[in-house]
Amino acid sequence: MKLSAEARDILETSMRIHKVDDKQRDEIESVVAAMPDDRVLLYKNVVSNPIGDLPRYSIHIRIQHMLTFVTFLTLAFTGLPIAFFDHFWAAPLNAMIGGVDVSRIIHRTLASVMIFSMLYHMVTITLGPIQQMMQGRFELRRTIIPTFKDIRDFKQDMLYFTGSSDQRPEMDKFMYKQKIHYFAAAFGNLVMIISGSSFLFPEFWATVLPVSMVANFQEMMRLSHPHEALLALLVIAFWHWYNVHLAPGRFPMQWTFLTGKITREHQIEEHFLEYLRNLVELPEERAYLLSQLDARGLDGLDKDEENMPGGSAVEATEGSTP
Amino acid sequence: MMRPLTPLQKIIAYSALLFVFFWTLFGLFTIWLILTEY
Repeated sequence: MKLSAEARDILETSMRIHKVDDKQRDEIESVVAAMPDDRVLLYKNVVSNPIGDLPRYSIHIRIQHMLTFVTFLTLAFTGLPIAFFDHFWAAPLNAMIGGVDVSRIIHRTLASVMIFSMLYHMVTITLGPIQQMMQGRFELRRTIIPTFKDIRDFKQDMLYFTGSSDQRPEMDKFMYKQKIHYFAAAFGNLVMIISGSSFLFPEFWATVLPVSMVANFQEMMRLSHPHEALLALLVIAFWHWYNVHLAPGRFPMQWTFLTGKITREHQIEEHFLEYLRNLVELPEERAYLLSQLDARGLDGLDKDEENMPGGSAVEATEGSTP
Repeated sequence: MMRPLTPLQKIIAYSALLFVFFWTLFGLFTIWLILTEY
């Protein structure tokens, strides 16, 4: 495969960070050279373990996701009958939990856990990069911080989805969609915390805000709390769950939130630049890919030789699957 | 290509999917609530 300038830069940076010796460099270069130019052909010909092959999330991120996941659902479940307490259906729900007073206690306790999870996350995303900087292996483009490349990736992906391009963009560890989702969730958390705290501590907000704003602020918070909750429910139910449960290649469930690992197929398809880093960081991945390309007769394949859809090569070599 | 799920993995994955389905119904219920409120 002939790497793009961007991919080459990622590979060179990763090799420099990991101080690879000449032997390892030759090995990495030979694996890259053996990869077919068509990445569809590449990811359709690797074997993936559905619960994940390559490292993606640390245990801290997984714990934070689990805390957010549990608190989000239970907060929605307890919050709704509180917001609509005078509706006929809310009474039995509140009664099931132990009455609206108990619902409120559960809701506030879970809110504290959610805030703890957010603080825990902030510590992780601060200390993690500091540690990486001290070790000289920090890369801004490997983080969730949006860059101009995301706009280019979005455009290229739309071209691919409308049939105007035959390749998805070479995306990094976090793609544009995940960045939008992440910052939307961070903003939503902030809105819920501020508005929720304005119900619990109105005196506090009255002391820190200008007198002319206090009444309007309380009214705005009273409106934004349930509406932001609804927006979050919609985003989770129709966007996030589509992406991690129903999307082709993810059905019936993406296991990353439990195992912290991503499948090889997914990494190559949507996070190809991160896969290049994997090739530098994981010698066993290099060995696997080289053997797989060799076994399937794909090594050194160029565009002229391919001339067939990704599926054909898969079918032709089905028997050689280990 | 993806290796097939083991029976235990299938139970976990499809249970999660079922859970998500019911929670989506709850989401739709919430939308109905908000829309009928005004």
